[in-house]
Amino acid sequence: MPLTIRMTEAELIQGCLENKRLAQKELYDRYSAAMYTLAYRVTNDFDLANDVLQEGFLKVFRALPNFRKESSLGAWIKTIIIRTALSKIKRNPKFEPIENHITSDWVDWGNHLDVEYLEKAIQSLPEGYRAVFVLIEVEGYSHKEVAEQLNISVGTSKSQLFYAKKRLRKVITELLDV
Amino acid sequence: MDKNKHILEEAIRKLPQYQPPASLWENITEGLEEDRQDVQWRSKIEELPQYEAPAFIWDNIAEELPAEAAIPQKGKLIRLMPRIAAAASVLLLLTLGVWWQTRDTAKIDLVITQEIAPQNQWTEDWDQDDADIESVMQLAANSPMERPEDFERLKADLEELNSARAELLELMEAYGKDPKVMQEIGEIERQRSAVVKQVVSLI
Repeated sequence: MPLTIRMTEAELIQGCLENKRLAQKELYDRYSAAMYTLAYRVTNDFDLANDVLQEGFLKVFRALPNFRKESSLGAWIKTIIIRTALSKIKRNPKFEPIENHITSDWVDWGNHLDVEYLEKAIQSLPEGYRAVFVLIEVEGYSHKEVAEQLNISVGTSKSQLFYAKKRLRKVITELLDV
Repeated sequence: MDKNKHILEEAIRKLPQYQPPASLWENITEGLEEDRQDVQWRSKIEELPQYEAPAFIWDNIAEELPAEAAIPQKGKLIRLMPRIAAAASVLLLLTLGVWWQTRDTAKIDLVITQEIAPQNQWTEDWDQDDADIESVMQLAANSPMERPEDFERLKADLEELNSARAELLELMEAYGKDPKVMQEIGEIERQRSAVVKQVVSLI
């Protein structure tokens, strides 16, 4: 088993700034799986996810001299990957404002949720719904942050999330019935 | 609104994570290598020589350009005001600086020079001719003349010269024998002699 010394984040950044390939590979290995998964969930396409990861990490290495450490390195990389992934979504999803819909409706998740069905249900969502659901519920972003990234209002983000969940619940129920 | 949201959260935590294909890193390193080569290429490009454009190029461009609009005098003055103000400020500061530097240490050097005129250079003989001149004038006054008005004119000139000489002699008496005054007296004496010669010619 090869002996590896885990670099600190500061060492990793410094190594990448000095264009050291070992440091660049270490950074890639550390974040690639999480970013690849995020890219896939947003785009719903492994080929697009490949493109997103490749373009995204190249952007990361090229933009690293501008990294101001206002957030963690991981959060900064995630932002770049999300933007790259969103740019890959060709169609503009139709967003409907929440005011036109009943907001007192509930989405009941029941007693158990099968992960495999949830994954399939996420994949079945339209791009707009899926992007909002993944960024808020899976990645933990706020409605305000998502609204800024998707260039929509906070109200629209909320309505998209609500209908994403309704749709998810419906798809999962259908899968269970089958 | 969510009911039993913890069920959703638990399922989300268990969602699978995917691994990117191994070839992806190779593609990224290729991109990074292109960047490195691009940097090298750009540095070589920057080393390429730069050439001066021939002067006629600008001439041709200037010909094609529309004529520069005349700047209104007022606008020009307003635009120049900051420069004028700056120049005036600098001048004022320089003047104050010079004054400040010199106000305490200024020395006034008075140089008094005295030119001493050589004494006894002139012979004070202007009184010696007075008697002769008086004789000539009396003789002329008693002699018949073709043009007596000329005599009267010359007599008036002589009296004027005598009066001027008397004033100069008073000045010399009061302030000493100034060379310039003595020079003036000499000039008057020459003019008196010339007048007397003209009177003689009338007799």
